[in-house]
Amino acid sequence: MHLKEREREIWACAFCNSMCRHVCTVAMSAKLESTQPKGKGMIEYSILKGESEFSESAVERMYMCVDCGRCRVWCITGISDCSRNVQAGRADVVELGKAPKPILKWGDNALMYKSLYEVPVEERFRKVKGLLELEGGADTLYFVGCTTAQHQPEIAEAALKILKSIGDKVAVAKGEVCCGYPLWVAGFTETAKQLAEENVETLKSLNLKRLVTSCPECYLALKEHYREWGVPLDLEVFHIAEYLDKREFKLKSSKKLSMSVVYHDPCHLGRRAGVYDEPRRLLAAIPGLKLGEIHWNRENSLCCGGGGGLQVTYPELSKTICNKALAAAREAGAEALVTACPFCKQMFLERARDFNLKVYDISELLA
Amino acid sequence: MAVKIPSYDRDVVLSELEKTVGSENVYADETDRKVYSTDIYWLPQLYYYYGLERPLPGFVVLPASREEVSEVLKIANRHMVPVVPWSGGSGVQGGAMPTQGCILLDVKRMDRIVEVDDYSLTITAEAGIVSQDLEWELNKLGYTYGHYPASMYSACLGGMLAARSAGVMSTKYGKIEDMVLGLEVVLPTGEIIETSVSPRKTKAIGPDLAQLFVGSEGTLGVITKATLQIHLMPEERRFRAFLFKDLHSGLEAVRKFLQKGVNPCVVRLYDEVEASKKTKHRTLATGIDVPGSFLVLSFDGYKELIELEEKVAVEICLKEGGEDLGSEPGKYWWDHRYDSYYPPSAPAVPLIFGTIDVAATFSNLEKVYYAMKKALTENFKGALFTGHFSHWSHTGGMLYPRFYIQPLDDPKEAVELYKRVWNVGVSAGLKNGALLNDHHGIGVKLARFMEDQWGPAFKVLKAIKDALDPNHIMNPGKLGL
Repeated sequence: MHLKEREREIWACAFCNSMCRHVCTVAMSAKLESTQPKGKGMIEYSILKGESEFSESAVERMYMCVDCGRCRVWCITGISDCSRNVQAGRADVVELGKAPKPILKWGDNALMYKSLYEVPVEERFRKVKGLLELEGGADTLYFVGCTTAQHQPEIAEAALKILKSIGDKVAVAKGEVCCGYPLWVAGFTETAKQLAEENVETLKSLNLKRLVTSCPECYLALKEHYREWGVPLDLEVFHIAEYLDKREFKLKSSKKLSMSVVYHDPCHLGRRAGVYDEPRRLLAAIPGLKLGEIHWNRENSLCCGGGGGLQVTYPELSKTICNKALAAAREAGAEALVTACPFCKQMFLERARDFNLKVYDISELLA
Repeated sequence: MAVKIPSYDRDVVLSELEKTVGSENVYADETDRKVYSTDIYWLPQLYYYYGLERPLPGFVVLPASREEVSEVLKIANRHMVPVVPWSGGSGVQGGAMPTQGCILLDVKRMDRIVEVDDYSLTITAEAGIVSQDLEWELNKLGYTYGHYPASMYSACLGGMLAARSAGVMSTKYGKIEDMVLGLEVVLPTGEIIETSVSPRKTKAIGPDLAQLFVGSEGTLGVITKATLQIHLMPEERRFRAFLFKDLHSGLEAVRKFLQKGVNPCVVRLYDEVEASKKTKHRTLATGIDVPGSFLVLSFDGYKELIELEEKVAVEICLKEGGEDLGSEPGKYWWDHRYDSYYPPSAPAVPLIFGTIDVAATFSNLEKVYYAMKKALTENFKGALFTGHFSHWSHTGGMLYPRFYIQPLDDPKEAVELYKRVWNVGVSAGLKNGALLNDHHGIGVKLARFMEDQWGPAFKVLKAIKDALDPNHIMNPGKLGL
């Protein structure tokens, strides 16, 4: 998708009365008009009209979006989705070779390592202890994802343990590559599609019943976007919280967890995929655990600041956003913040100490 | 639109601004200057739509404190650079429209809630807080400030004060000027002042200085902080809707129950055109199938009290021939009150449209409505004219006459036509006893009418401007100053 294919959507944002400024994750912290959806729409509109071009500052604004979808919750136009407009703008920027350096690095990594990160393909799962390799007769594939594999391997370890415990024949695919979603959002549409094709090819040959992942971005890509990109995956795709809820998973009563927690809705699992109740049901069923709610929750959940590449392009802004989400969690009075996304967990972990909060992925509490 | 390039040394000003607020809070690139080239005023919106040359700020500056605002104004005076304050940029009168080369001073980094006094029921907040955020923070504590403008999601406190904002519940809670108890203002020359903070109706210490800056549209200084009165969340909120056979009956009912002392928070009366489902452009999200004038009422407060108020209002409405539609259409109206401000429902350029909002006493209100309707529909064939009324006291209210004219191919002709429509509409209103504007402000759009509106009294405003802003750096041209 490019800007010229989204003229009407861009018009809607550019000439809107700023009806979502108050909920835009980035604008709430950056304050500058050009960072709110209307401002970005105005920049895109000027470029489409030929009045402006992708100057350095215009490119910067395109990358000041966390892809959180909060604007969409408050938009009743039925037309627009600012983050999709931004994604189209980024695709143009990438074609022009003007993407910010950290984003270009993502593109290079994808080409060289088929990962967001600088990790050779053969070492993709190196950090995950006790990882099951693909075995004949597996019915459930656990899709690890780049961020889980490189930065949050304990999430994969916990998830695999749980899946085994419920009797699934679970495996991972040696040929797994990046799901493509972060690259697509960053503007590398062709690269994302190529990665999708490679994953689909690998998974097709394995004769599986289902795919389960802990990463909401992988989940969204595999479940919805592969079809949109013309690379459909003929397999049931679940986020692990969704799958365990479906299987009516319950911790044994001997595993009592005496702590108070709040659940943080990850943007791509909640707002973008509509999975709100499943993780809450799983947590509520843990013996001894007291589940509270953050004031800004469910469709109005605050973003962790880690989406859309913001954490690599504008780390300070990303940190400010993350601090707001942590402050909201702290205000709820819980000891721990539970999420269901490796990006969120990574963002929160780095700063949680300042807020006197422990941070867990949901699988870590259930394993 | 005069485009004059100021003669200051750009690099020197930039360097001084960066030193004052930090280079990361000064934007001199074309991208940001263009984004700040238009508020919601039709004229710059049209120029932006067609990509026409328009005034751009020289610098966009985001100070974080009143001290930084003060330093920015001192720089502006030293170099004679105009300053245009900006908070939400949601105004429709061009009040925040930049002067070419100006320092556009965006106050949104100053958005803290400083204090909630839950004993006296006041809140002190900085100018850059978004109205909805302010309300949400109060709601969390069990309070409301009762202010629900159409720009709720985008307007900020400073801009609302500077433009005399009104919300749909103003009949009970008042407009922003009724809510404000005190202000902090940075004067054009950089001095920081605070007006006294005291409860409403208690001041006898000379003219109310806070009120001097309310509605001053950034021409007399920069509002940086305000103390407002707040309220306990109502125990109950009720809605009721009526359909009257014509506008006259609706207006009579409203006058009678207001003058009996009934005090609803929402009293919104739509003329037969705006109420009709068949009308393409209307601010009423629902719409009715049968011809008539549509009235929405809402009551806030303790159950027993509002039950009584509702009972009296209902009796009067029925007596004036109103058909009781019950609570549902009113509740629907509340839930969808902002729908028509989203695209594609909201009118947008290149459509030629506007709201020539005027206020009048009951003696003149209906006369003003028909005079403006006649003037606009007779002079501009094919124009759609709609109207609704809101923001009442027991002596009168506010009329929103709206016009819609199909786009013209040539934007310059469209601008000329647009100006003619305003001249005709405003003149018809003023001749029949209307007040030029109630709460959208004057900006640049209505600046040319200020002499007519004020007559000799306008020199008082001019003298105040000269005294406070000797170099006339603050928001030049707005309010006709």
